[in-house]
Amino acid sequence: MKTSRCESKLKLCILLLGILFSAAFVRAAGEQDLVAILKSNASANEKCDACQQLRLVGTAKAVPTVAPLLTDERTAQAARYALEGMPCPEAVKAMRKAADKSSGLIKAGLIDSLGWRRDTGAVSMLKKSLSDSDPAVASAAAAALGRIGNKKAADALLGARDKKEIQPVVLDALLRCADQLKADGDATKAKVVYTSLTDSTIPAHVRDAASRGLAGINTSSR
Amino acid sequence: MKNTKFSRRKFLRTSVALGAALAAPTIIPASALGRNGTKVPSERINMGFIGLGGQGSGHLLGGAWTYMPGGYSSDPRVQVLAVCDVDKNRREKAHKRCNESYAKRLGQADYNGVKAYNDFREVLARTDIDAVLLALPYHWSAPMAAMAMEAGKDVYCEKPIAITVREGLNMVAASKRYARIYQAGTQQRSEYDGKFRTACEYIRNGRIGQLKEVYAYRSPGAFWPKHWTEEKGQPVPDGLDWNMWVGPLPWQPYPGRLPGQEIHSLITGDVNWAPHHYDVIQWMVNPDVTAPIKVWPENDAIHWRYNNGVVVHSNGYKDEKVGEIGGGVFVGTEGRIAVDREKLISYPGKILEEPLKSSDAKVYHAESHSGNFLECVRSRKPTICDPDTALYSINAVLIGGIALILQRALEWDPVKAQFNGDDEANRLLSYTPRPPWHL
Repeated sequence: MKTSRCESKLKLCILLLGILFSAAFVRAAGEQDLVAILKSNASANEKCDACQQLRLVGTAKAVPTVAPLLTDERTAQAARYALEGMPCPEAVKAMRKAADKSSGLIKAGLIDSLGWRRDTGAVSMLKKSLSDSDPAVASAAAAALGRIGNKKAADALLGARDKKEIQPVVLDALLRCADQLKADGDATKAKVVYTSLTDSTIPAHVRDAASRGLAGINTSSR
Repeated sequence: MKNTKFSRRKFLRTSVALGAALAAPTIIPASALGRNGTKVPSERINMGFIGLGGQGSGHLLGGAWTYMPGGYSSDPRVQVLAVCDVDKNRREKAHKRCNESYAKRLGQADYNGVKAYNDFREVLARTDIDAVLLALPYHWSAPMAAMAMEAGKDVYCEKPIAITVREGLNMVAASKRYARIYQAGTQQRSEYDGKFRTACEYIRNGRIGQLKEVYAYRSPGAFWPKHWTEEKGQPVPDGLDWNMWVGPLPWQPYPGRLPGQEIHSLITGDVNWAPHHYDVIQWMVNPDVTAPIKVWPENDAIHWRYNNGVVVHSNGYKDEKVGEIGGGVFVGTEGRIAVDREKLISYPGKILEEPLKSSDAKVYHAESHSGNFLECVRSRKPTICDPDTALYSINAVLIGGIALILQRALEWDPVKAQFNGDDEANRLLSYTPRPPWHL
């Protein structure tokens, strides 16, 4: 019967991939076969393995099939591993969409990936997430904004400077932001951010870092 | 007239000489230790120890694999304030031994100045701790070192210092952002009676002619699981915080015993011993650290070509046993040197018989790796295995590991920290941490 032949073929694929697990065989198996596994009744573990392999060979074509796995606790991390590594805008959009409709640790993970992809389109959502009742989400949002490091991210973080529960992450993110702004040539905004970290309520090691950052701007502008 | 100003540091040195180093630990205000101003720590360095397995407890209390007699807890430059491990047995054992050790030396039977923790974040949150020593499962090294430096701590971190390029870069960025002192636990540059340092100076001063090839005796490695996660596990014993042990890794059920340092199925190749070999090899090859490196698989080994023409092979040198334990064989146009923790030999023998001259170029000299760390915590000078050095060394392992995984030639750009024009290889520079953990 057609159905059992398809299932057998898929199972053989999974078996071969499990036994002969090298990148060479991943390439040989190809994106299509891996996507087929994700669409099948394969176990969550097998789908995680397929996601891992898609990290190497996945393209925008695989995104629609990987995306639904982003919000399943058993496959979320592996699915993110696949998409975060795909250098296509479709992967970022899928993660942003999933982050918008998820919560808790799943959301925190997606936010982390958006930060690494420096997704400027996520800044509004991340700003909101700074006030999430789940500290894991708020913390991830702060870190992600620090990596995005543009003016809007800086403003969002400045607004969260006094949130006690995530303050250490926010302060570090502000420093990263200021460093990024400086590297991108926006010395003016960088100065604003560094200066916000120099008052006496800020821990000494952060103040020192901010002072060094300011000194770097003042030196380079001479 | 001699300066009679009697600094606390001088007092401690004098006390050590008189065998009276163990005055009662003095409560030193934070202002004197640089936390509210810009002064550097000049008295005892308050430390936390995170990870109390064989390596960590050895550092703390002395024993196998440690190079400080009696460990850091016996060192008059250090005050141990915290011990931390996710395994209650290890934690309580270290806690008891440490407090007993101080109690005995101070004559204070109820001494309880060392606190015990399960959650490392509580150690990092203590403003009275200046530095931490991390002896962790591999996947925790880089993330926790970065978190520690972001909390204002100096860090001694056991190898491997990272299992991906991204987390190594993140760690280095944190060290620079906060101007922290960091020592990677690749102690061969300091210990073993200077064998590796001597070899390095002979090679750099041309005593084997021009260095052409190196044999490393150790496969490189990188993060690339055989399976992302597992289904079957065992019940977690009481007192073990398995969830914290797994941390940012893909979820793995408890396998029935603590894995030690790594979950082997998540790493391809070797990231355990390889850092020791490849760190001293980088030291001796001494390439331009900004220049591209070609790396490729051939004949069941991985090979690296550096800008100065030196080729490093991951396999051993035929019929040569010296090099196996943390070292390598270095082949030049006029001879070769083989070095490891146990031996340093040259072919011909006369190479090493002729001593180095005072005018010969010297490399960073440290005779104690931990001592170097503690000195640099005070002086704020870079350690012998500072973050940039450590990153360059671990990246040699990781890019070799990626070549091993992909089974093809790659070109690495150390400045951009990526493979040139190679999307597939660049996809292996990181993994996605399990939330709530993030870099």
